[in-house]
Amino acid sequence: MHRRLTASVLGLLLLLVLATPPLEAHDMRQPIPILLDRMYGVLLLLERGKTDEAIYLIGTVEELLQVKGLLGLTQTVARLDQAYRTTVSDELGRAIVARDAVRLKSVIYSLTYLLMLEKLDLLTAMLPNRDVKPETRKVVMDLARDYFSHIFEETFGRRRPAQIKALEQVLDRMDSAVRQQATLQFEHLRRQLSQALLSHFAAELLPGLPG
Amino acid sequence: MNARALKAPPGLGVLACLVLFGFGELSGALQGSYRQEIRQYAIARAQAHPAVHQLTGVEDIDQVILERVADRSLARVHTFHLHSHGLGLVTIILLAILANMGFSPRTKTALSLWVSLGLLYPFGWLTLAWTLPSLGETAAFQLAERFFFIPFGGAYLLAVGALIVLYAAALLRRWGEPPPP
Repeated sequence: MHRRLTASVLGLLLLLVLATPPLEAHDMRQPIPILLDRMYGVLLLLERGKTDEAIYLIGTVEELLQVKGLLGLTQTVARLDQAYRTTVSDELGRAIVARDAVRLKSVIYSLTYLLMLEKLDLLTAMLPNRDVKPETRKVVMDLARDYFSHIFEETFGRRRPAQIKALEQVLDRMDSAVRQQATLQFEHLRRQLSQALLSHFAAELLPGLPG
Repeated sequence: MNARALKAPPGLGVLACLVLFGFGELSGALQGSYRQEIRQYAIARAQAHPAVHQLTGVEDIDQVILERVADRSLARVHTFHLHSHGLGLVTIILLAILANMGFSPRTKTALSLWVSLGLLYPFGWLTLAWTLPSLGETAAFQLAERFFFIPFGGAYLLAVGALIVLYAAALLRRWGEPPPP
C-alpha cells in the first residue's frame, strides 16, 4: 500500500517536473518567424564553433523561405539596408566568403537589431492612427520583442543579465505605451532602447547602425 | 407521456437532423484531408483584402496576421463540425420528446418546425469561416449573427425554453391528477 502511494507521488512529481518549462526558456508572444528561428540556429552553431554548418544553414534558410513564397535572407537584408542605409548585405557576403564566425555573428545581431527597429518604427507610425486595431499594434510590438528575446536575451541572458534585465524593463514600458497609445512616451522609450542596445552590444553589432 | 409506447419523432425532422449530421461529417472530413488547402485559401483571400486585416507590407508581421486568419477560419469550420453534430443529436431528442407529449397534432407540428429551424444555426459558423478572410472577423461575425445566430439560434433557444415550460406544466398537471385506479 505504502509502496503504491510512494510510486504514485513520485510519478506525479515526475510529471510535474516534465510539464514545467525550463527556467531559461523565454516565452515567445507570437509564432516564431522562420527567419528568426533559423538565425537563432545559425548563432547556436557559431557559438559551438561549427562555422561551416552555420553557413550551410544560412543557405537552407534562403531556399526554405523562397519555397514558402517569402523573401529570402539576402532579400530581407537588402530591403533593410535600403531602408536604413546600412551595409549588412555586403558584410554578410564577406563573412560567408571568409568563413568568419565573429563577423557572421555580428551580421546576425545587426540584422536582428534592424528587424526590431523596423517594427518599432512601424509602431511609431501606427500609434497616432486611431484606425489601427489594438490587435495589429500588439502583433507588431510582440514581434519586436520576440526578436529581442530569441536572439539577444537567449544569447546574453546569462553573460550580461543586468543589461538584459534593463532592456527588458524598457520593453515592458514600451508594451504598456503601445496599449495606451501613448505616442510620445513610446517614442522616448524607443530611442532609449535603441541607444541602450547600440551601447551595450557595441562590440557585437556592426558599426554605423542607426539609432 | 407513456414510456411503454414511445412514439418516433417526425420523419422529416429526423431527416433534417441526418442532413445536418452529414454536413458535420463532411466538414470534419474536409478539415482532416484538406487542412492545408483551407488554410492556403484563407490566406490567399485575406491577402486580397490587405486593408481589412491591416497588413503592413512587412513580411514577418503580415505572416503572423495571415496565419492567424487561417487559424481562425479553420477553427470556425471545426466549430461548425462540433455544433452540427451536437445540435443534430439534441434536436432528435427534442423532437422525440415533442412527439410523445400530449399536444394536439397541429401544436406538435408547429413546435417541431420551430425546433427544426434551429438546425440552420450552425451554418452561421460556416459562413463565418467562409467570409472571415475577406470581411475580417468583426464584419464576418456580424453577418453570421444577422443571418444565422440571431434568427435560428434565437429561435432554437426560445423553442427549448418553451418546451421546458410546456413539459414542466404537463408534469405539474399530471401530478395534480388523481392516480389511475
